[in-house]
Amino acid sequence: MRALCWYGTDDVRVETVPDPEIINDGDAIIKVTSTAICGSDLHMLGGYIPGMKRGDILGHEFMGEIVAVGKGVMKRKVGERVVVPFTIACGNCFYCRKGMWSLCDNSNPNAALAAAMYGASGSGLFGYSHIFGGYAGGQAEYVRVPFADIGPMPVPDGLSDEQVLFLTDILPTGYMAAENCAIAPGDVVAVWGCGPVGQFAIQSAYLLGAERVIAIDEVPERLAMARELGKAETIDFSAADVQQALKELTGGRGPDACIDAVGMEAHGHGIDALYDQVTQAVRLQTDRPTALRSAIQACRKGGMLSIPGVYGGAVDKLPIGAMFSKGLTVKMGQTHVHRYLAPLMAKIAAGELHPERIITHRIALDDAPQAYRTFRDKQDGCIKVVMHL
Amino acid sequence: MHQPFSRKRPNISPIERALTGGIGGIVLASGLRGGRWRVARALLGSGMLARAVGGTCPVYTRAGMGTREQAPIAVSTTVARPADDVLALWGNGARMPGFFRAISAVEELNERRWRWTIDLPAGKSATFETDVDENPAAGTITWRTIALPFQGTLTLHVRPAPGSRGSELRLVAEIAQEHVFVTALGQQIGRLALQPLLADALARFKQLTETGQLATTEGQPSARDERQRTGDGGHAAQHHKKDEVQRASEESFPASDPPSWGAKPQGETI
Repeated sequence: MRALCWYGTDDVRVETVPDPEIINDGDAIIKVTSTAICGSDLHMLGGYIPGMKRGDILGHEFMGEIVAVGKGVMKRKVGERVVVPFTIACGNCFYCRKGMWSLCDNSNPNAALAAAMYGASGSGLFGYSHIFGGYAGGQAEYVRVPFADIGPMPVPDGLSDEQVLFLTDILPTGYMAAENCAIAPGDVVAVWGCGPVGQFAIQSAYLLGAERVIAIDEVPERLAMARELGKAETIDFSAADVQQALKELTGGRGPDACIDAVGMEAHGHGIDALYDQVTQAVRLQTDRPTALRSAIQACRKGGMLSIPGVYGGAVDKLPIGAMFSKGLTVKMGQTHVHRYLAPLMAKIAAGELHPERIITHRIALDDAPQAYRTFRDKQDGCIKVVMHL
Repeated sequence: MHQPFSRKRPNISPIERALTGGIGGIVLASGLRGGRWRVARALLGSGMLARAVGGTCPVYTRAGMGTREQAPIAVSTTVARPADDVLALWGNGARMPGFFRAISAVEELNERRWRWTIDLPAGKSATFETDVDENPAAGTITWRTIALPFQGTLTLHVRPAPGSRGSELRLVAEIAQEHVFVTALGQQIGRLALQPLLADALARFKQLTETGQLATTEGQPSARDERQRTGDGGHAAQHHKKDEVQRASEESFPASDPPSWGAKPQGETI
């Protein structure tokens, strides 16, 4: 089969690789019909995620048709069209039973590696380094899906691939980011980053009752999408002082909740952004928390800080004093995708959500390497790339 | 159990005392023979000898550490199954190869005695026998080696976990020998070599007990794979040829029925 493979920093290629096989009785094989490039795939392109091996297949946002199942699969059937959560969950451990699917105890075969880094391992992830299991990803013609009775969810006939594809990651991620804000009537929510997750966080914040949403970015087309699709007020951080602007927009209080939808590769224009660029380049820190600092600084006293943006290691100069002094509540982590599949699918079917509207580029799998660069460099108005196979 | 280190108690292991004393004696002797820095060498050697004889290191004391009191070689996990189930699954030696990767064969000799074959580096293997002592009331199962230079035990302690978490498991390996020096050496080597193996075994036991399968990516495709590539033809629906021991082990571990994404877990908000 053909698959997009990681060969090193700034080096991804479409190669012919062996087809996947049923390995465990609980596995299914999915024939991919649609797959997408996620912003967090760019972290691997940039070489920021440890534990990658040359030749790994990338991709964790994918859907398709089940073409084979192991003998232990009872609920899923060959021929079903399914979306597949990017987090792999066993369904039986303490965390799965509590609905914390992305913290599954049993799905990461390399849990000891993750535990050495983080103290404990989260779930296995598709196409996201060997620290998270080394599972082959979904930017391929076929994918092996473990625990097939637990993750893949059938898609009703009336919904297109483009409508439901983002249930695999970014739509639940944006939704959970907003949910983590515990939005109350009258709340103002600020969202750093108007990429795909940020766009869905904006829309979800309104769905959950936010009075106003303020979006922060510097890319014109992303700010425009936040205004037009998300109905957000916007701040261009390349042209305005974000702290000052947020104070003015919130009567001097600061936002009630702040969402960092940027993560480890933040950009900025101040001294702190320069400091982050330099210290990350010389590996004095692994991640650039420029947006996170801004969110912490801006958040009102007693506010909520929600972090859906991916962080992988250690950051420098985290203003924990500001967090403590203002009594912020922080919620973060990989998305418990399984929890949101059914309710968000229902919202899409009901016409309350239109995830497909963020798609800007539709390509073939063979064009993926160039699309990675276009997406990374924010060229050609690129916000979301989808591959149809 | 691991005891806190105190200022008054010796905190240097027999191995370290012997090494410190030996090196200290050499350094002291070199100082007494003269030459540059002879006073310094003599003082250093004397200090090392005093450390060896006294068995107490002030630096260790200040740092709250030591090498004499060995924490047991132990790993812990929580398994979402009742203690009785865990003890029943662990007490069946035939299942052990499923989660101890190094065990290649096991044979039940009688009700209490089992014979094990383990893989060693360089294609070697070793065979030994153990007795098993089960104490369900205390929640323990102990495997005890017999007829080996070292007396080794592997004990699983099981107790109920709070709430709905199932059972807490603590797996403890102990190595003993009549000579305290050898015992200490065995503990040190065992800690380095054994602890990761125990952690791996306990993690695999948890996986098998909770899910009935072992998470793995062995056999999946990548561009590193040298298997014959099938081009853009049909999918491969055939099963990957899994290790026979692993498959037999998985089939002996029935998992409970998982809730899937349709369930309404505690705390769900939408």
